[in-house]
Order: sequence, then C-alpha cells, then structure tokens
Amino acid sequence: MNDQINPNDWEALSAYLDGQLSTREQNRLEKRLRSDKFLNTALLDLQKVKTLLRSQPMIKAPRNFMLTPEMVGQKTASRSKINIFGNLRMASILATILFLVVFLGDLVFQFSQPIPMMVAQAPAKEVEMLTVESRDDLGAGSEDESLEIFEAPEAELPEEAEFEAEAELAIETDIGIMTESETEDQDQKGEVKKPRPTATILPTEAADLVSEYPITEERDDLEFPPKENFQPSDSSYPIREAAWGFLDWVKLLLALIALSTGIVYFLLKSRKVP
Amino acid sequence: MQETELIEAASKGDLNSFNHLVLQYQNLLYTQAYRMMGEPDSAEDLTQEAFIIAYRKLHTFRGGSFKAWLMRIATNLCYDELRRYKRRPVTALDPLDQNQEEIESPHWLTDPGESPEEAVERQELANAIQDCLNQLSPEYKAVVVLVDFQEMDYSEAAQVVGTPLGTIKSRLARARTRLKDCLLGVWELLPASLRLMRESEL
Repeated sequence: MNDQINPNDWEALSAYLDGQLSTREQNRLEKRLRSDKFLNTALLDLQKVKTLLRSQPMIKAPRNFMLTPEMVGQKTASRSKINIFGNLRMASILATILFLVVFLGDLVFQFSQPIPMMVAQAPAKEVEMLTVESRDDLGAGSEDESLEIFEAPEAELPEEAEFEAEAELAIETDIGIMTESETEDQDQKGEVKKPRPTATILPTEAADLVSEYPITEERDDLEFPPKENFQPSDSSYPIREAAWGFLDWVKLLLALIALSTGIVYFLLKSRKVP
Repeated sequence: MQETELIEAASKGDLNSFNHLVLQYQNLLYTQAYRMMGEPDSAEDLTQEAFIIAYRKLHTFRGGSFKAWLMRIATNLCYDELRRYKRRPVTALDPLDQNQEEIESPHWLTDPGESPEEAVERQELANAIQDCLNQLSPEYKAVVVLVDFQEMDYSEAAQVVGTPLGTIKSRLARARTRLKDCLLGVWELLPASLRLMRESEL
C-alpha cells in the first residue's frame, strides 16, 4: 500500500487528520478518498496511529524537578559574597571597637592625669617679687627675720648653702615646680627657666606654710613638702586642659562614621529579615 | 498567581516562583524527554537540565508560549543527547521501561523479521510504542511527540522545533507512516477498539 501512495498523499492525509488543509485541498482529497480504496485505508491507518498515540497518558515525572539554589549556582555565589562581606564586616566591627577603646582610653587618660609636682627654682627677680608680696600679705611691719628677702643670686651663693637657699626660696615663695631635668638644665646652662604656670601654690598658702614652718638655722629636719598640711584643692591641684587638636576631631569623626555605618547596616538588614 | 507573573518574578531571581512553573510543566517535559530518549535515566537528567537552563536563560524569554519555549529547550537537549548517543552508542544490558521493569524484548534484541505472532508476546503496549518511537530519527520523533503525544498544534510545534510549518507537516506525516508500519508488528497489543477496526477492514 505504501508503494501505491506517494509521500505527498501521506502528507496530505496526515494534515487532513489534523485539519491543517485548506478548504480547496480538503475538497480535492475527500473526492479522491471516495474513489481510492488504498488512499482510504491509508487514512484509516494513520487515524488509528494518531488515536493510539494520543491515548497514551502523559508520563508522570518520577521525582520532583524543582530547583534548589545550589543547582542554579545561586547559593554558592551569594554565600561567597556573604562570606567576604561578613569577614569584612567582622573585621570592621573589631577595628571600630578597638579604635573606640584606644580613643576613649586616650581621652580618659588626658582628662584624669595629674601633673606631677616637683621642686622648682624660680628666677631671682620673681622670687623677690613674690617674697615681697608674701611679706605684705603677712604684714608689712613684721619683724620676723625668717621673712627677709634673699636677694643674693644663685651664682653668688656658696656651694654648700645652695641647696638650703633653694629650699628656703621654695618654701617662702613656692612659686612653681620644675622637673629634675629642668633643674639639671638650669645647672648646666647656668640660667634660670621660667617655672611652669601650672601646679602652683598661691602666695597666701605659701605664707601659711612659712608661718607654720619658720625658717631656723637648722633646716635638716625640714620636711618638704609638708605632707600632712598639704591639701590639694581645685586651685592648687589643677588638671591639664584638654587641647583638642585636628587629629582628635578626625579620630572622633571616623569613630562616629564607623558606628553610624554599622548601625545603619544593622537596621537595614533587620528590616529585610521577615 | 498567573503564569506571566510567575515568569516575571522568576526572571528577577525568585526561585520559588520558578518552581511553581516547574511543578506545572515537569510532567510535560519529562514525557517529552522520555519519549525522545526512550529510557528513564536520561529523561530525568535532561528534564532537570532543561529546567536549570530555562531558569538561567529566562531573561531571554520574549513572551509568547512559555510551554513551547520550555519544550524547545528540552527538545534541543534531547537532540544533542541523541546525537551523542549516535556517535557513541550505549546499550544497556538490562533495559528498563518507565515502570522500572525489565524490558523482555527490546527492539535491538528482536529479530528484524519479526512476525506479528512474536510481537504479541509484548506485554505492554506502551513499551511497544516507545520502541517504535525509538526507531525514528530525532527530528521526526520530536514532531510526532509534540503533536500526537503532547497534543500541540502545528504552529506550536513549529515554534518548539524552530522550523517552518511546512516542515512540521511533512515530518509528522513521515513519522506517522513509519510508526504505522512499526505498530503493525505489535497489532495484537493494540486496544480492542483499534484492533477490531483493523480486523473488520481485513
């Protein structure tokens, strides 16, 4: 039968079964079908094949083919991104905490550190002025010899009396403190530096100290400073002023930026999580 | 959720939306792959691969029939796999049917001069049909599966295969003719209604 029907006829028959022929082609084929037995049998065979194939049920998938993030490489990519970001985030948090600790520690240290008080030697002129003031405070007509003004310059003092004179001056005037290095500098250079303006005891207090500890001939037992009577107060025990330089402001700004970035990220992330 | 909304969401990376589409079309794609490959393992692999490719290439979908677009991906994968098979043919020693049961008389073990009496030994009509399908070239197989198994119209099939409508028409006719010839050998396995039709004609 196949030999008697050419490929064009098979194609026409197949299309006829599916209703894919034009009206003209369809009429012409139907006319041939009424007269051609082989063509009619071929049409029936094709129709049975088509019916048979269409009667086959759709095969049920043996398993679920739903995709997982791993299958499409979604999770791998996002995980690596998250890992990198997470590591950076952790590092930045640690760096911020460390930075804040250092920064705050520095601030606390700056504000709380007292300036050490040390014996200092004032310039001769200042010593004179302050001694006069002290004497005036105590009373101009005082006859106490211990309050005599020492005008002798340091260089003119004999060597063995030098220390005593220094102590005397310190007690009488108590104008300031010099560090050991400063004292050494002074000795070496032979000149007197100005005392540091901080940590001074007021002349009135100096006078009190003088009155309590009158200067006598024997000064070896003199305790300086008089610890039991030395009461540090706000004025006599000053705190160094915090000098905020440019770098301090930059540090504070960086800390605030780091903190605010972390907070903003945390808020954004917490909003995304359902 | 409508299919277009699911597609739009999936194209933006929403895997859940795409999985809704997978559930909707997985039987269709698996049937296509199984009919074309003739064995379940390859069909499974290809179906999964087709969905993965579809998800990754979803941004290239320009509207139209999503079903046809999916089927085209699956069909092309089957083409590639069948060509690979042709270059390096692999024959399983214990062929299994879709029910994971051993095929007792696969077509490559049967005598080419098989008589209708021997063919009636086939126990499952589905296996016989599949055997006949496997004898078709991939191009004919794809068209007949699309039109007769999946019941697509010619234009949809043309969209899937990527050929003109006339090509679909001619390929389908040749495939049906060859299947008719093949199925004559297993006529006793056909449903009674079809068999009676044939016998009454004879």
